Amino acid sequence: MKYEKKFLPAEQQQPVSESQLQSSQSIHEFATPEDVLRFDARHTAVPDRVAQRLGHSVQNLPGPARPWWKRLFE
Amino acid sequence: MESLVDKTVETEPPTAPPPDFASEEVGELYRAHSREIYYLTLRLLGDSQRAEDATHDVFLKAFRKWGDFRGDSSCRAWLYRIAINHCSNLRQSWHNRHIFTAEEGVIEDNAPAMAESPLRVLEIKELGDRIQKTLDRLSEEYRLLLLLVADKELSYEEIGTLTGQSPDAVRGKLHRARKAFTIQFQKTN
Repeated sequence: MKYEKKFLPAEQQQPVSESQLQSSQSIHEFATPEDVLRFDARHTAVPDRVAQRLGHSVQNLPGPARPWWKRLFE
Repeated sequence: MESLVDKTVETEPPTAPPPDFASEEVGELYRAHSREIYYLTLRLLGDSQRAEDATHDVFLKAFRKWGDFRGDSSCRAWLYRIAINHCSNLRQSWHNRHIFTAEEGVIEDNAPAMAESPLRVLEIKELGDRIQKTLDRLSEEYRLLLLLVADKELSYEEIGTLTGQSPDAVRGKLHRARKAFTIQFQKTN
């Protein structure tokens, strides 16, 4: 799949000022809403208990079938 | 103090220890994509407990349907599809039952990384609250578009497929979504 560049040139982007996006204690500037969301996502960890729950759930299931396109080449 | 804060800015939060999954494939799937799926569900549902449940359910569904994955889209896009449908069903169900939503003031716990300094955590928590309030004020379409575009692994084509529209339509709506986000974010200050 050809990936297309998704980001507009800087002058076409909707600028978001520091005062708009940051609290008074903040030291960061974000150029776009996506940057804000990326920052937030990077600092949002998945709680460990999700993996633990999933581990328990998966143990009660049969193993996953291999995708059809993988089975073709076996 | 600023230098201490600066040091934490680019530090990735510690990741969860490897889960004891029965299948290594599932473990790999989880390790590679769980952060993005959890974040999407957190911001779509507006509640950390529901996001935990949804992330668990999404990966369990993915594991069960792994044999159906045709490989004609990226694994990330496939998981997003499952997550979007799951969250959509949950939100619809809540609306039908008139159960409170994030707009009504649910207290969140975004599970900030333990390694962060208290100040850093406070800042990130505050920012997370403002982001959630902002997203809650946007239309579902704008909210989803912004969250998907924020993932650099997704192309416009994949976002178009996930949201049922052309890449050109995604571009056009994204411009308006950015504007709407900026305006609403300003109001949360």
